[in-house]
Amino acid sequence: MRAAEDIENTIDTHGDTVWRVCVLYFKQSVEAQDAFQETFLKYSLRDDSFRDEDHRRAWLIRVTVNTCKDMLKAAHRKNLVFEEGSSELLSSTIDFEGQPESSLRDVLEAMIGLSDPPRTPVYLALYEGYTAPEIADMLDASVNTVYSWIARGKQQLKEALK
Amino acid sequence: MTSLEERLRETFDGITLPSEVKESTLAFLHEEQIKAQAEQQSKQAERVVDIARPQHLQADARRAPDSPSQRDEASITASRKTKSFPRRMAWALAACLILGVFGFGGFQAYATETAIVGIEVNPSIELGVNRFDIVVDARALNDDGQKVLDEIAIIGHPYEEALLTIAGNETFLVYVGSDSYVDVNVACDDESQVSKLIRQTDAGMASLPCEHSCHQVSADLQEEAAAAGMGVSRYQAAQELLELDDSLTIEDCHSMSMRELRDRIAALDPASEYASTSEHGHGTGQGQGSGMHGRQGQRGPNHS
Repeated sequence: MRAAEDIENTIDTHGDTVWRVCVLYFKQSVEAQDAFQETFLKYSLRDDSFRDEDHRRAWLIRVTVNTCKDMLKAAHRKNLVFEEGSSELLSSTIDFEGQPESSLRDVLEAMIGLSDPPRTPVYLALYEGYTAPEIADMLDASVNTVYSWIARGKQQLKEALK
Repeated sequence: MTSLEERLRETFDGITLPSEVKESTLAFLHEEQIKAQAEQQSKQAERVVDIARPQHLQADARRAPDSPSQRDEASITASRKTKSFPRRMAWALAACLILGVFGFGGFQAYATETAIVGIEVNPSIELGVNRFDIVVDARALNDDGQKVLDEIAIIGHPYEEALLTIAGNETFLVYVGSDSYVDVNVACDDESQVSKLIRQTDAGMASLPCEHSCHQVSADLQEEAAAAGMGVSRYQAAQELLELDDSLTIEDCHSMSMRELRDRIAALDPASEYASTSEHGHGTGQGQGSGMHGRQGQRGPNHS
């Protein structure tokens, strides 16, 4: 397993990034926390080094997306429905200081309301700033498909936020 | 940047990792590291059998780490199952090195016990609690304690929650009838943590039908008790009982419940504090000063 200092430093550096992906998939805080822990467990078990911090970050995002998708699939197989649990933890994660909270919550709800894809490609493109080729590599899809997802997702998002 | 991008940025910039999620993740990973070390030790013991295994089962099934087609969970599972012998040895050494450098940074804070809480009825359990009041270790001091720990998962959980889990465990409840006695002791140098743990213990034990007490003990006494293979409360009571009845041995005291120890002491010495009947019902409330309640001063061989 990776060194303790490595793990903690990585959580400090990229924890917000990973957490945002978890929140993107799970409204419920418990599942988001489980996905977060599972991602960093996988990180702790990874032997190989990273080329640089960008590589580490991209790896973490990819693993988080896969972990969240696996959890959703497992829940679907078991016919489970993630209960709308306490929103306290989720609320505490969101700091909308100085902003109209309802407007920003609308954006979050609209994003979560998108099907996936295009939700993840849109998030990676519009918020994380990844290019379509980079997103294609992360999501194991063709570049043209990613472009389509992004275009469709942006349109759906605009419709939802009218 | 378009207005849509600006709105997304404003929204997601406001979403940050909660500190409690970070803390619980670090505690969870600490527990996984302990399990990994135990697994490595087990695999070392079986390495002769592994070497004799057919070659095709020893092939390293790890794929290229950057392959987009790789499913990370499957690759991790495959790599954990099919390591070659030299690599397993390297992992064993790495695990030892990792444990040796646990002193690094804030992660050590999570792994370091700042308080040891002993819970003794007849099941005797010891909890290692870190400075964030999270249980980072749980040790059984006797077979009955081990039975309880085998049925619950409390490592990585807040102390308050762990107490409720223990108090609600069916195996534990078998031992806590209305005539039982639960003795909880806290060894900790931080007075504020002591007070908090005592307060939480009183609240956690309130649901039990029997008496309980919770008090602070010194680290020296805790070490003496540990050397005797006992929890502090049992050790203290055993010392007192042995002074009163030299026909008994320390081994006899190992198997007695706290209630039995206290009753025997009370029968031999009615003036003893163990004979106190002031703790009926659900315990004695908050500790004062040195965090003691239900019992005066620190007990043990050096008690004056």
